[in-house]
Amino acid sequence: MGAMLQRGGGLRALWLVLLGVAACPSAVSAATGLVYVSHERSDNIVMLNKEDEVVGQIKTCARPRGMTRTPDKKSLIVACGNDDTIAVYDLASRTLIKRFRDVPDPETFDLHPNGRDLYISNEDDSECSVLNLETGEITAHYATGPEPEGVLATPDGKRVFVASEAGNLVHVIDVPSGKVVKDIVVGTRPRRFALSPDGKELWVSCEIAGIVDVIDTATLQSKGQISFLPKGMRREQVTPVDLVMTRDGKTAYVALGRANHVAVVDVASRAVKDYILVGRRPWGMRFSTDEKTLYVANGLSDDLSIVDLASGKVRKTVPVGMVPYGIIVDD
Amino acid sequence: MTERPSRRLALLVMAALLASFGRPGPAFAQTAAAQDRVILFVDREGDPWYQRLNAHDGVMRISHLTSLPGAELAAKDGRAAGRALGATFKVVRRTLKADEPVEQALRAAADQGVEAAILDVPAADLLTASASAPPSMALFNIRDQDEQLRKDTCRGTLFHVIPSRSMLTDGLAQFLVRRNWKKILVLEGPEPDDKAFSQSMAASARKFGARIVDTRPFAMTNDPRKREETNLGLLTGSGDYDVVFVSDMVGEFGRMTPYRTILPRPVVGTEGLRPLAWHAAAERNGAPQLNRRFEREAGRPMTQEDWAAWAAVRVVIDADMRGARDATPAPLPKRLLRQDTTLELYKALPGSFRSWDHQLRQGIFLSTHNAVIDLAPVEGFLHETNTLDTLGMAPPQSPCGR
Repeated sequence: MGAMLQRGGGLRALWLVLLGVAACPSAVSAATGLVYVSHERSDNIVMLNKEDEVVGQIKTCARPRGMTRTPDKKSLIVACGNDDTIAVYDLASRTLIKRFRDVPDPETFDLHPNGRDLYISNEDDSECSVLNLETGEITAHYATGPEPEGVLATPDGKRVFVASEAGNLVHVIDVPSGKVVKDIVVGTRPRRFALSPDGKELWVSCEIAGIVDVIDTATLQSKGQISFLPKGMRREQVTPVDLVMTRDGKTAYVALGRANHVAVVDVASRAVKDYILVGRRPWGMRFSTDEKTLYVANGLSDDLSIVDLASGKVRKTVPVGMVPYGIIVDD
Repeated sequence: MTERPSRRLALLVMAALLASFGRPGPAFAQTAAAQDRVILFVDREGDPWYQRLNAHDGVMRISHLTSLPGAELAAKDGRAAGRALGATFKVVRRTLKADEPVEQALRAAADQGVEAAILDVPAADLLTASASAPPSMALFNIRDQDEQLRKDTCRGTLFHVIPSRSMLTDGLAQFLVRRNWKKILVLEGPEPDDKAFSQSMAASARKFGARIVDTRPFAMTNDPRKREETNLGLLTGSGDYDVVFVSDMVGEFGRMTPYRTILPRPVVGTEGLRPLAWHAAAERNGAPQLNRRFEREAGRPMTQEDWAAWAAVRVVIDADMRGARDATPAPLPKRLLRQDTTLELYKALPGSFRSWDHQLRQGIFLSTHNAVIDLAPVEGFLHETNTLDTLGMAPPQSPCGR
């Protein structure tokens, strides 16, 4: 179906409507109320409902990892690394509606607030490319360090941050001028980002260093580091990947990878308040919209830990597909 | 085989990237003022290591290829880091004439401000270099696994990126003990390196609680009077053992041992399951990305020496990035010994150098010809400070650790 749509030039208009490009924000539809989990090995997206039950799956292209919703929340953009494809699925009908091919080994990305430019990290090519979702053209390439990973576009749309895993760098792309304006040296193997709601601090997880590096977005320099050590774990088992911050900017959660815990951090004091035991090698994490629940993808135990944030305990562990990676909550 | 449609695009992208790196465009204003940071890659004409060995039956040809592409790949990987530091990392090859002393070449380079040299040279040269190099210059051993070399040079600035022999056999012993294959039959070749490897295995077995049930020398000959040493049936026909450890660096006898033992037992050592610093089929911890990058550059799979050359350059770049945060950076050899170092080696655990033998702490792959079966330190083997220190020399075994 995707191929058919791609060929039919007349259907581009339909695609634009589906995307609902920021022009008509009133078109935001009712959410599906589901949680979507991508899987590196089983090539599917598993869906869960509010009752923490698996309610179905979407077969996808090969090795789906990074995911995001379009601004109208009607469709899901998925990076399929092994197919060199960015695929778009309609959430209501759960069908493939568009495919952008020949995007080399995409892993993660972020959608610019303009709803049109997708900033993609191309792991094998040491670059960040920009895909125009309206035309399907790659409109820009930015040279990064080796193995670019996490991408974050600031809400004001002025900057895009890209982490280079093997370069121990965070690249700062200035969007208006289209240039890399700074390469910030951070801890070993930077992976993902969280931006504080006031936009003043950029948190970067550094997997091998086992820390979160805190970058001052005014000076573009590292201004502090947070380290972790859950009880009974060794320093080298602490391999942070995904991290999320609450809307009030008070609390951050950091998935600690091989240390099998999620750290709870007080943002203002940067003190670790708690460690929540989850499954094996947690990476991807997302809040429910009410921020009462945290969903954690455990890559090596093929399950999802669902954490009740009020009690700080895992409410339920649900088996999903093989090597769960990313999570999107559409509620 | 699936030919990926992105190849052409990838090539175009690479061409564009190369072009953009070639000239200091406005996007990388820092490049204009860049200084070259040269990492010397020293090798020697007529080095026996690179001589092609025709094995006994003429079928096998054992040869080594230069590890230079590994070093060059790391320099390429370090471009963006260089951009951040306002420097360009460059690997420059320096091939010594057959009789040219290594120390002069190093001193000349040091005079020009070179701080790091990879030494792809015979052991005698490593010793000379270590004894005579300027104290500001870090030297890297990327191929010699000898234990004594590490003890003899521990006060100098020679750093060992390739694992020592005892790290390899310790990793293998951990695996065997974990599997409960504790009775080991050793088949030992005639070369000095064969004997060193099987002796190291015996020490590792003692260390982790395995047992050498017998050590039997083998010989490569058709002499009927030596059949006790040539016939695998006779070599493996008596006694009980869980596993056969073959120590055969030439590899010709070793390659015929699996499936020809009298008891149905796995073969490990230089054949079958081998302990290695690197493997082209490693599939975790980001290793596939590094392997793909290397294969694209060099047109062949990455060997452990290639990996060591890559890691040496990587170590220098990392130390420079850390040093950039210091007010007054110490000389490179001092910075390499910082114990809070966390090097990304693509083998799960963060690497750093041991103070007592200048050996790079690292995991050891236990691998067949086409798969990585396990990564040592094997689960369950613990250490009071760092599990990586379960592999190799403990401080009291080195003159610098007492």
